Formats: sequence, C-alpha cells, structure tokens
Amino acid sequence: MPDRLDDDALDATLKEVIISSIDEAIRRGAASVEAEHLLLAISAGHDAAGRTLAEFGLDHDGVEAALRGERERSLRAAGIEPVAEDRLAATRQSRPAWGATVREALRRADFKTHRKRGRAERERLAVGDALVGILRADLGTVPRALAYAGVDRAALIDALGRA
Amino acid sequence: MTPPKQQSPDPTGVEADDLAAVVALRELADRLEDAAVERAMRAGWSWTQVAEALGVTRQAVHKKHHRRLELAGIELRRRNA
Repeated sequence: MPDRLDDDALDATLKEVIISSIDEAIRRGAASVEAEHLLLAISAGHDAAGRTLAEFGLDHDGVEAALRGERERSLRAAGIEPVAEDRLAATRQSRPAWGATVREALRRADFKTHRKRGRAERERLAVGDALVGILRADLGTVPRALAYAGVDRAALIDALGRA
Repeated sequence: MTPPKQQSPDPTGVEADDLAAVVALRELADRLEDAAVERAMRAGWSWTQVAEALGVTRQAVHKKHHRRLELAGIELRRRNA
C-alpha cells in the first residue's frame, strides 16, 4: 500500500479517490495501480481538483484519450501497431498491486501545506495536493500523455495552487 | 557544495520514447497474456498445454492465472480440478 494509506489521518475524500483509482486500474486490465489511475480517479470528481483538470481539457474522457494517445505513440516507437481492445479482453485481476508511480506521487504531494487549516478545509484540498504530486513527475506516462495532449503542466500546477 | 540541479530530460524525447516503449510493451504483453491464456482455457486447453505454448512451467502459469480464471467461470474449475 502507498505509505500515505498507512496514515490514520488520511483524509476521507482522498481515501475515496485512492480506492476508485484501484477500480480504474482493474478496468484497464493493469497489473498495478499507477499514477495515471489516480489521475483518472481525480478527473472523475467534481471537486476543485476535478474542475481545474476539466478547465485544461482533462475531464475523465480527456485523461483517457491522453493516456491512450501516449500508449499508442510509445508502441509505435517500438514499431508496434495498437492491438484491438477486444483481443485484450480478459477477466481482470481483482487486486492489482500498488505501483511505484502512485507511491511516488503521494510522496511528492505536500499534504502539510494546509496543516494549519481546519479539518474540513484540509480534506477539501487533499485531493488537489495528491494531484500536484502526480503532476510533479517530469518523466513517465503522465507527463508524456499531458505533453502530447498539449497541456501545460506548470500552468496546471499553478492553477491548482489558486483553486 | 551541492551540484547544480540537473535539468530534467524531455519526457517525449528520443530516449524517453524508447523507455516508454518498454513500459507500453510490458503492459501490452501482460494484457495479451491474460486474454490469450483465458481464451485458450475456455477453448479447452489444459494448464500443461498453455504452459508448453508459453514456454514456461505448468506451475508458473497455474500460479499466475488460476485465481483470476477461477473467477471467469465454473466450467473452467471443473475441467481443471
């Protein structure tokens, strides 16, 4: 489990989003829950973080399209055409493992920024903090997907700071 | 003296593309394996035959897929009991 999940003080709203990231991983047939699944889960929400993502064209459909585009380009870099989804249909693993990228995202999220605020306010902001943790990665699936989708990651982080 | 902060490479540069291809190929291989093993077992293949086709031991393929395929259907369970 990500270290953050071991924390008794884990904000309830963030916990819900983390749990729905497991569903996102299962739905995509992934062997592990990664940062992109947490991003998908956050983009499905209607809180400040979800709204800010949507303003940058990254509602849930937008994130899915960006991630699909990244995988297609990456496969083409190796000379592989995408394989039709129906050929990849399988009964899913019920319990994917926690991947390194989601752990790293939660480690990079600065949850202490808002420690002086009240509990409700901290809860409201925790999902946004986790999102910033995801966006701080300079390399890997998420920054590639956002770059190809034409999203300015730095501007998105700035906008989340104001949300 | 701390060394200057190294500038991060371009996430969509040539080197990053090759590394991302590895990630995408692994993911594709994992998903294709899940789908192909399930399809073969539904078509009546035994664990031993699937293992031979994959070039791995029966124990390895069973350990990796049996719990997932148990979820896939009771017919599978009976045939491979």
